[in-house]
Amino acid sequence: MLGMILRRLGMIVPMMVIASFLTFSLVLLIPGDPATRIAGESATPEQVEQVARDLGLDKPFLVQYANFVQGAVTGDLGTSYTYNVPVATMLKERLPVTLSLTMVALLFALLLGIPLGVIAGRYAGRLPDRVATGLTTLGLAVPNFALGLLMIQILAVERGMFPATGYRPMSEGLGEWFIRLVLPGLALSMIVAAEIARQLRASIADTLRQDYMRTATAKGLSAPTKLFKHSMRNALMPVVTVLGMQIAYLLGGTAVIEAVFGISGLGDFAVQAVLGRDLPAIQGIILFAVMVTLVMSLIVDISYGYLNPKVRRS
Amino acid sequence: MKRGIARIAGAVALVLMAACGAGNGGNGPADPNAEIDPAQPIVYQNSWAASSLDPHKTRLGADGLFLAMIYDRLVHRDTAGDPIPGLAESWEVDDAGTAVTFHLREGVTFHDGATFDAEAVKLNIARAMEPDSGTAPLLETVESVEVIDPQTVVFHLEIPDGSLILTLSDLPGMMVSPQAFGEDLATKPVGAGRYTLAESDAGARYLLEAYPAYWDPESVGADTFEWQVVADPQTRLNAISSGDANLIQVSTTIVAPARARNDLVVSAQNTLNSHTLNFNRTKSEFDKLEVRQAVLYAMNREEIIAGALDNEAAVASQPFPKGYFAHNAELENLYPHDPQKAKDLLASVGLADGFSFEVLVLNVAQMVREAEIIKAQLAEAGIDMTITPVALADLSAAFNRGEGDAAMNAWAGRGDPSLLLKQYFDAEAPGNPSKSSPDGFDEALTAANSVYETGERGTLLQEVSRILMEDAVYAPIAFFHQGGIASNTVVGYEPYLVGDEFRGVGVAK
Repeated sequence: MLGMILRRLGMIVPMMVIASFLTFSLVLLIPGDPATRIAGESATPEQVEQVARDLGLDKPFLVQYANFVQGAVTGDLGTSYTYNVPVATMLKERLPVTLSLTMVALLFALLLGIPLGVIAGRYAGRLPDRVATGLTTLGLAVPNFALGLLMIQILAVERGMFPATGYRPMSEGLGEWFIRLVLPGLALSMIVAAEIARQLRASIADTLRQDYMRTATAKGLSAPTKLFKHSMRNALMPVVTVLGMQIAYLLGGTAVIEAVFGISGLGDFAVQAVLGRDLPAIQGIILFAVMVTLVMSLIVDISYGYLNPKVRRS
Repeated sequence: MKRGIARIAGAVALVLMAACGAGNGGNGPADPNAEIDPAQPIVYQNSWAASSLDPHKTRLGADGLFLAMIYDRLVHRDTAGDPIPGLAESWEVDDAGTAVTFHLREGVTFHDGATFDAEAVKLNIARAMEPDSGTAPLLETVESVEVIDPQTVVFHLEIPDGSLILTLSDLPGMMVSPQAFGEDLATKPVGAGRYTLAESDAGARYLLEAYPAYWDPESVGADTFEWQVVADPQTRLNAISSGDANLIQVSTTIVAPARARNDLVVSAQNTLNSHTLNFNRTKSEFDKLEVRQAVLYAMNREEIIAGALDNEAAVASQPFPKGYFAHNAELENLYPHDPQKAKDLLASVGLADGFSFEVLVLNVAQMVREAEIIKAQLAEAGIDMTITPVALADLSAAFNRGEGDAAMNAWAGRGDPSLLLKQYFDAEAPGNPSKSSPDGFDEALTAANSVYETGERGTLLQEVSRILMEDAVYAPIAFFHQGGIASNTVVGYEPYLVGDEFRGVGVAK
């Protein structure tokens, strides 16, 4: 187990190098000269040159890349062109926002997805299954921003039940923090909830057909014991896989929801960085996203070991 | 489908009902003379704050709006954009026009306790003129700054420069505490303005706290002023509609829905900001005056404003709008909509079959819609316009490099009218890819800048606009409405022609 974790951690380093090199190269494809943009509309050619020198943009590509890696290793991701603030600082400021949103969305996804999946799997092919499957299809089909706008209009603007926009850190009170994440969290959770419900439905329906379940029935175990103690633990494996990938999706897929709800998190930062051709910010965000994805898949693999002892031994 | 969503949302909402307690503000319009309760915060949303919090080193003129909250300026502007006393109580000019004496306000201190005096002005202007300062080109006529006594300072100029006064109402006139020079001003500003920066998440949220020792306490209405950056106009409208904000920046698309609500007050008016179609006069057929004029005659601006800007804009006939001292009333109907005249003009230079050109268009929905309407209008005169949308970050740079034959962009007004004129029409300016100016432009601008009195300068600046428009150097489209939408509890908000200042804005008791 420990060996597996170490091996996987070791893999992260070369993956990060490849990802950073690719992003750094991609930036070359963006038309225009960053120095001209940063220097501003009324800058003289001398000022543009000075900006290029200050930022090291006049150096060869590989030298620029080496400087970037050297900085990145020590946690210095450069300074945002748009805001003149270290990219690492901006990531640090915005991570809690997106993390909060992701956590709340995940909570809703589990609260909605697991009951739906269990009901659908337990009553596979019967009416409750049809209803649950219909709802999950809906959850997958409705774009989250459309749902978000609808909820803002009805629940926030017209009824005043929830704040329509904005984010407040947890330090300003748990209630204030949570209430502002309800609507965006719900909007964001739908697709994930639907994914969880579908996976769970399939695997519960499958485990309930297994021989050991018939044995359990023969032993006279009650239906809830069979369902929750014997079926669920086996049925959760595919759900955990989906969950790991969905967390990575949530962390990266918040851009539109953040814009709709006026939340300044990583998604909003990424959009602004791309629109503003803020190269250090784009690189920082991509590196971060790659790291999150790698770490999440590692956590998923470790959790397999917990859920399925066979994996631990191999 | 709606029922399904409503059911899911409703179920969760019921569970959470107990925890929520968000309420809207009071009903009915607030009394404009209502007393302000300074303890209630202003929560303001704008699509932008600042790229740097250092007024001299920033590269963006647009940063001035936010920075004016923190840094006080030597000269202020009234709502019409005319200069009024700021940190300088008065100023006078010698007969030659090359020495401007400023008499400074007494008892002013910076946020760090340092005294604001003539020496501080001298040090600040020196800093604003350093080669790496974005403000340096705006102060190029300044030769030296002389301290007479703590309350008197003289700007010695190489040539008379009437634009100096209003230039000092912009970034170059913002005073930084000299004790803080060399500190990290880009993130930790130290000025003498109405507010200090208490907290900030760059590009997201800036918490401003009133500076108790500010010399004009009347102009500080709220003890806290939270400036939030929200790019999407609809999101801003949702925020103010549900009480998450009480003052937001106007965007033409949200004016009509905001007017429909009786708990919101819309204050939108023309500003110096305009949408323009600028020609590269070295490309396509735009070297010919007749061709440029034909484009202007072929355009129907009322139709563009109705079709793309929800009528929340005024027809532009020149660089400056009605109500501003540099506006020239005689130019208002210089190029009426006249497709036949456009065709005749094209025929007169052998282009009876029309011609085609490529326009780089700022890729925001409104601007692209404007371009599509213009494309249809020009087609009536036989002109074939190809639209190439370009991102904001690339547009000016690409056009100035010589890409495209024309560019449709949003121009932002600056403190002094001559700054805009120089930025786009001076032969040497990086923002002028044509690399030439119409005959008489330099002389007329020099003449306008050799006088200081606002009324007289206005007359001379109007002459500069006449030269530009008779030469049809560019096609003005519209001055779009800007300003604020306030909740009815907000008192004292007034839109400014050049840059809102939020002086005395607060929440009613």
